[in-house]
Amino acid sequence: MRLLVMLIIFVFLNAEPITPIPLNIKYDKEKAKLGKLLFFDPNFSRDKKISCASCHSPEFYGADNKQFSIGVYGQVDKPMNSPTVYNAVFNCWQFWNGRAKTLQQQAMMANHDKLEMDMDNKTLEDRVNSNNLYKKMFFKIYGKNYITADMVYDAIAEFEKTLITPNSKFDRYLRGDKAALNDKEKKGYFLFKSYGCITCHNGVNIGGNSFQKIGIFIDKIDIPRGRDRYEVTKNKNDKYVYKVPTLRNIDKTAPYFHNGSVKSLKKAIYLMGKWNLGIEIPNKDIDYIYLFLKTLTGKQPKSLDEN
Amino acid sequence: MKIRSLSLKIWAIIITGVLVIFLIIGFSFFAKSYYKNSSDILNNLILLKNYNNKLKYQVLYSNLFLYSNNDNIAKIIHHIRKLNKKIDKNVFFKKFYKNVYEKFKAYENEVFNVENDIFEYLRYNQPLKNSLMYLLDSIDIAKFDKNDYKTVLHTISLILLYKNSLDDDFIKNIDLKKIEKFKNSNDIYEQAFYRNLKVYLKFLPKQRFYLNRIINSNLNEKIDNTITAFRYKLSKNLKIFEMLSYLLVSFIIIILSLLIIYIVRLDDKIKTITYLLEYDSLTGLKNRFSFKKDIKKYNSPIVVIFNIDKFKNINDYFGSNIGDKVLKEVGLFIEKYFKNKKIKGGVYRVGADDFAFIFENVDINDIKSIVKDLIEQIEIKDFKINETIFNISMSAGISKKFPYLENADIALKNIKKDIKDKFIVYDNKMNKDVFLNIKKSKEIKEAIDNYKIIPYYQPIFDKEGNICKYEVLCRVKVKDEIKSIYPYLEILKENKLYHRVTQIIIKEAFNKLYSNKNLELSINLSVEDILNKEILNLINQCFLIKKDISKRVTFEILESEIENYNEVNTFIKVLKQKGVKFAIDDFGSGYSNFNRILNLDIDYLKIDGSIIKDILYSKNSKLILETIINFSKKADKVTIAEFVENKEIYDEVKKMGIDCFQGYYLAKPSQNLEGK
Repeated sequence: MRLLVMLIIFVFLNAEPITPIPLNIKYDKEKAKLGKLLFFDPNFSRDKKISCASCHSPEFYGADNKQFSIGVYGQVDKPMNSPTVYNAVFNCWQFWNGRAKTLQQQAMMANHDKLEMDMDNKTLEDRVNSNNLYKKMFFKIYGKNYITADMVYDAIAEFEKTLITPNSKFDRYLRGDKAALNDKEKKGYFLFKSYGCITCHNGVNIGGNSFQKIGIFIDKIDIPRGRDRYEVTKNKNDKYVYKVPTLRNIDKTAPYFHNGSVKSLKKAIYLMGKWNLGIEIPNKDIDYIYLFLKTLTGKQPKSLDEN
Repeated sequence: MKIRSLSLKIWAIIITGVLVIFLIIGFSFFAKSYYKNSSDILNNLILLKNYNNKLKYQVLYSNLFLYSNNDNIAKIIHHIRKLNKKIDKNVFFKKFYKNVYEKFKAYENEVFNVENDIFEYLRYNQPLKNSLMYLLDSIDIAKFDKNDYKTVLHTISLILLYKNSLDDDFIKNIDLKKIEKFKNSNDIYEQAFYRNLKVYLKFLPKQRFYLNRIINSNLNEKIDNTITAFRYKLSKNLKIFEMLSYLLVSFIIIILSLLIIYIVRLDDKIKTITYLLEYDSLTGLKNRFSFKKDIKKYNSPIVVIFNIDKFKNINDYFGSNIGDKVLKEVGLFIEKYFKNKKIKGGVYRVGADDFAFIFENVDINDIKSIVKDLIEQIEIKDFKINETIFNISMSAGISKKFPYLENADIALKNIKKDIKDKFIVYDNKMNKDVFLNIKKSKEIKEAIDNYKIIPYYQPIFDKEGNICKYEVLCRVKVKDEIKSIYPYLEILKENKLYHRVTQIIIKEAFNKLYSNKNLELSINLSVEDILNKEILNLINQCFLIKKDISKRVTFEILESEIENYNEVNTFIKVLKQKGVKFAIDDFGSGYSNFNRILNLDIDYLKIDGSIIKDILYSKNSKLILETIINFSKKADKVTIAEFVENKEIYDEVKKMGIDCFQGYYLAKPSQNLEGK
């Protein structure tokens, strides 16, 4: 444990504040297989139509292409845009406002949310325990005859660990393959650093590890607050404060920002410069940064092709 | 009672021992788990302290460097959280370290505060970095004119100076009035310079405030307090454990010492008991039990039993104290004898006055000469006990055959019959006596139990041929055959049944006396009978029933048996006063002591049958008889001749002057009174 921390710290003492996604991650194969079934199973929502994958679809790199996702009974899940589940395991907190600390908690909260799946533990347990296949699989892994809700979320979280997208171009570059990026992309990365994006978008997930206010350089922001950090801390300074989102696969996970108000990535870059860097980044620089951000797209997780 | 108390002691020890063992096991389990849990918690607390330092380091790092990876801070916060949860959930911690737990809670609170401070800090820190980067970059991007350029450079250098010194004075020297003009500049980069500087100056105090709060937080102090309190409590408890373990160890020591004491005592007792079992406490020699154990170890042993002749007399005359001393001395003497001769083997005391010795690989002839020599040595030795000199004679039985001891004993008995030899070697013929004895003993017991002891009466005649009285003889009916009691006498004495027979005969005889007025009876009494209280009581009772009956009773006593002259004398004197008459039976056999006979105040002398039988052919017998007759005439005793078997004898003894006659020639004994 301590050694791990030491290693991490030593690794990060070098100049690069971004680290590549590990090629392999430790997880329980059987449990992940079970979690995968649960992840795609719509029976665990009130109307039996919504699964985790409904809003975190592999088609859209673990996110949703709509501004707002559709929950049970056709409800629109306002006002937050669904973040990607890919690489969520590397986020230090889950949800836009970080109200969940672990993947299990996130699964539980999403599952219980009135606008999303509107379930409760009792109903979930009744449904999962009436399925013989699940009963068998759970018994094999947990050695228990009765499946509890915690076990369900635990299995889902185990599957989510497999949803990582390593080996993006940029990761290969970080690992020492300097030819992995072309000159324009390298220039994009330099601008990404020199404009100051890197101060918030760093770490393995290029984000997901701190909370920042949106719109430091503007007096009044004209988008709805939604569920921000204030909901968690009740600290008035935390209004309009959100978790810095990951930039992994950012090109594939439009729309952008906490409420999905921005459809194009270039606009998102421009707005971030204006709101949070106090600068209107010129278009040619935005293009370079955009090209760099595209190199952050990795391969689809292997576990999706496995049975 | 003693055995029970011992077993109680043992039980107590066992139970205490088991209890202590359980205590130790329980205690060690408890102590182990206590120690393990405690060290787990302590390790976690120390780990927390490390994380605190790392957290501060990372916060400082993120303050100093433009690029910093926020994963590190987030990860450490998660680690701290996880550990806190783990420690918080620990039931053991709450239970055994209550006060420390409260201190830990205070730390947890502090962590919560610091965590919030970090979030705040990061929110101000990141824009500061961005702004600084832009401010530095703007020199290249913005179109400052020459006058402003100096101001801008000065402003940037003050900020850099501040960043490297953390001295607020540099910030205070920034002249904002000169910067104000960029606010509404046409150049967006000049505007951006203004905005960034404003943000920088706005956020800086807040960032500083939170940074200071984090760096100066009480995290370490609080965790140190927890660790110190924990260690203190742990060492205190460990001391208690130590005391407890001392207590348990002393418990064990006590139990062990008790056990050792007990075992030592037990061992002592076992030794004593074994000694008592194997040794004769009087002489210190090995005993009969040892003999039987040891004899099995020999391949072809030859066993000798030495018996002190007439030892009973020593006991009777001098008391058993002296008797015991004699036995001791004799035993020692025998032991010493064999030691001096360097003959291997031990001396055993196998009976009251029986000493045994086991020979191995010694020729029988050598043994005979050794035994002979030893007996001679004993006989010439004067044993001085309490100023009295004892001369001891011994006989020995030698046996080469199993069962050694019994056979040697049988041999010894055969010696007693034959006074010439002092020792004899067992042979098989002797064993016949044993079988015979067993048979006889069965027969006589059966006879006594079933009223088959029958008195016979043989008349005694005077010179005129009249029956003056009858001698009561004892007959036994064995398998419908009337037999004499003589063959059974030894057995009777051996089996302590002799007195019962005497009692039966006395009762029968007196019944005859009660129912026949003028009948006179002569009843045989042995010295043993006279010394027996029951018999004396019986005789007295019989006299009480009918007065004057005593005048019609004569008691016959065997002269050879008389050893306790005093008692016999008293007996005779007492009964003589009642008119009872006394006869000495078998007079003239062995040594007859005329002097003593005179002192005993006897009425009749019954002359020994062997003298009478030989009277016709043996000059000696004739001489003895003449002597006796002369003596009795002078001593005023009546003589009676027994065994008058034919006319020749009758005529001869009558001629010699015998007063009364008894014998087959005159009348055989019968169950009825002849002529009455």
